[in-house]
Amino acid sequence: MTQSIDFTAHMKSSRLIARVSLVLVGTITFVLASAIVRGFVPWPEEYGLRAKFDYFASHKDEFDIAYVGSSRVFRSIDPLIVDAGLRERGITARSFNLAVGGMTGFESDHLLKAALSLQPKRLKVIVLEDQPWDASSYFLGNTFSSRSIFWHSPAETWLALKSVFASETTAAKKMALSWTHLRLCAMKSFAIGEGPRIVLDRLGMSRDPLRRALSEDQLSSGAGFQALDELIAGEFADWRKNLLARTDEFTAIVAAIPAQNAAPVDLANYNFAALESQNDAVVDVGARLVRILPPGSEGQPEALELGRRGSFPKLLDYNDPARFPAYFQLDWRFDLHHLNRAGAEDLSRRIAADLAPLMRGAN
Amino acid sequence: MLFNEARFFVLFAIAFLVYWTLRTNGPRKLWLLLCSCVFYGAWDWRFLGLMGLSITLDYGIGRALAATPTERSRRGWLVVSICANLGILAFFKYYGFFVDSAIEFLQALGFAPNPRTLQIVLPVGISFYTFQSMSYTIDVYRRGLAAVKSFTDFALFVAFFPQLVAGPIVRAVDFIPQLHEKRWWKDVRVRACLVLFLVGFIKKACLADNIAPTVDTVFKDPAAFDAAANWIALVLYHVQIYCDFSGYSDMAIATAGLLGYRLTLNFDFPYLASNIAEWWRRWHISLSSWFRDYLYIPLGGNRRGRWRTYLNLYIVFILCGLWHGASWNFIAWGAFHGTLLTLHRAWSDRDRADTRSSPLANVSKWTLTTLFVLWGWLIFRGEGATKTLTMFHIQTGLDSGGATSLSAWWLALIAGGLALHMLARRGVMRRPIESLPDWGFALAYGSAWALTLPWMASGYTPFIYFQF
Repeated sequence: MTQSIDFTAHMKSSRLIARVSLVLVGTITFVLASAIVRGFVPWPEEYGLRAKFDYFASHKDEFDIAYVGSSRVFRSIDPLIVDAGLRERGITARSFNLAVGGMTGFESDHLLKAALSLQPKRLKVIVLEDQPWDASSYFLGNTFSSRSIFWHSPAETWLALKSVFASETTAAKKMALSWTHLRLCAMKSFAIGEGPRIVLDRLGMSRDPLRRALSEDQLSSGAGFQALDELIAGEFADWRKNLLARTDEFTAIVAAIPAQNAAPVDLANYNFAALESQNDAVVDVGARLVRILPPGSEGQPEALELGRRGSFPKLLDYNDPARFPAYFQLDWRFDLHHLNRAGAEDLSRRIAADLAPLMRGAN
Repeated sequence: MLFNEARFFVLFAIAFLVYWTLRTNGPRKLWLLLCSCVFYGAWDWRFLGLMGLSITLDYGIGRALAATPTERSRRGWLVVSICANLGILAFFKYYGFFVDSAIEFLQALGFAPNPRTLQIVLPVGISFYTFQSMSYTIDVYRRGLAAVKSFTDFALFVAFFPQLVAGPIVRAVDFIPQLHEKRWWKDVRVRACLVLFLVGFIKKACLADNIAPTVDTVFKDPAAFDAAANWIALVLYHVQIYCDFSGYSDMAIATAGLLGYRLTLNFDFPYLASNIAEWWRRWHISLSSWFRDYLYIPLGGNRRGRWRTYLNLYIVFILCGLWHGASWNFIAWGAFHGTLLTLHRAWSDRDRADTRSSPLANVSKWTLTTLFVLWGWLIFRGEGATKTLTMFHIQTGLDSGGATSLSAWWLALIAGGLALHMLARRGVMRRPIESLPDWGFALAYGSAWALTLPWMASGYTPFIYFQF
């Protein structure tokens, strides 16, 4: 037997409106209460992210230049040397290295915008590592790490989804990646699974042994920089051993960079919206965005192509073995991907020279 | 797809809205059947075929039973149904176990059999839907239920997604009449269903899933932990399995309820039981009552004398253990409970006049029951006979155990959980929830979810530093 059982048919429109209103009240309450809970979620502590941001936040009006990016920026730019180089050129400036190991493009963007939201008064230049807006492949084993959840704000997730759909991959993979990003955004928005971290943080008990990659003193005296030479222990020691054991491979990697840089690039699918939003955020606080390619282990043709387009933020390119051969030799390398202290000191002096004209313009 | 997965919420929201927007029962049932296929296919679409085979077989046998007048033929159809259902179950669930056990047995006798066996994937929920489907043919055979005419109705009875993968095991006699009932939105107890779903979610996602890693660590290497840690881990497993299973059942009942269907109560505060028979009347009720009605009573139940009753109990509980999984520890667990029930039965037969119910006697009975249920879980969960015995020896002081301890906070949490369990049984929260005005309930429910999700075991993984 079948019956006409439309649940709206015997419900007056006023009752239907009342029920929909109740659903809305419940949903809004849920969203608002989640926002309150989210306010208690501590920043990820891994590899000093929280420590660096906290330090920057508490000294936000003291810095003229900030460096943002991955370990290639963290381990390669010594703000004290840049400041000294600028001073030699008659420019008084103080800079801070806000870069953190393992940063990817979207995470850097999120960190940068969080730093800018503090409205730092003196900031004139942001030196940001040029990383691809690649939301499709860089999760590796970190998909559900707190670092990965951390940057999935609705705005950042939207940029990531645009990148996913612009990428050249299968429709099935795009759907799977989009779902992953949406899940991460939900985890961030509703603080899913963050209860233990909130409580431990409130009790002053961190479970993460890597909480303080840099102590308060180190942050203060080193302005956020730390050379890898000072970390000959644990996983970092293995990186060094890898380089020394694979010198032939390193030579081959370096030799391949020029060809990679010269490879043709199609920017048709580039996430210009993300880049523009980043630039606008920097301009809004009265600063200027400078993009940087530190010496690395692979070519960056997309960044170089963007650099050739005059309308985009200035690009400082040091990832060129022909122009900067010393950065690609064992003497100035800590491992396959990073400079050692000597390399970082030289690069910092060079950055000071390249930033001086920009700082004069900013002053 | 599990109820605590994000994609379930998306599927259910779509299923719910379309279901209640459809005007008649026929399209609604088709829609629910489609949603059930999506729900099951999300795990592995290939096994939809196996479930389809089971459904088609029992539907056809049901029709044949209705059309066959002679008892002999009817019995023949029933045998075909039981053999086919148990054959499918045996092949997919027990084939590897029996072959491996036979090989071990032959090796122990000095033979050298070829150890190559077929690796078979266990289809999710096969034990549940097979028993459900079998109950239908048995009921039709017994003339307790008319054979279903509509294939859609029968398919929906077996595949109904709220109870498909983890029960409760629904009886045809309870469910199929519901497929013909008028279904009105106004009859849905929305508030009760929403609260039950949240309670189930908290049990499953916030309690069971968070306890699991600690339990796993101790059971994996009990010798590394001290006696207190071994006890705490066992009690935590006691909590984990209850929260996991009853939480899932709560969510299943609530989900079905929001679609206007009633499912069987599956757990009734079993950990407050004061004897083992009562425990089985409260634990996984849909399974224990299935075994009672379709196996224990047909075997003669308690009508053929004391010793036959004991034998029947043993048979039923060994098979009940085997139902839980293809492993010797489940069979041992079933035999252990068969022994406990036999002893309880013998004790009750001797001392029927014993109606003492002083508080001290009640606490003693509860403690003793809980202790044996705990040791039952040790057999059930233990990772092999050696580790199970090691854990038992450490707990009872026969072995000193390791130096590693577990935090004493666990004891406080367990005590808190027990107190909540007792308060929940008294229904202390029911009246305040029912007395809330609609807008107050909406506010409270939204807030409750916001406070629950941070405690969900989210699969958080530490950040691994690759050389970016």
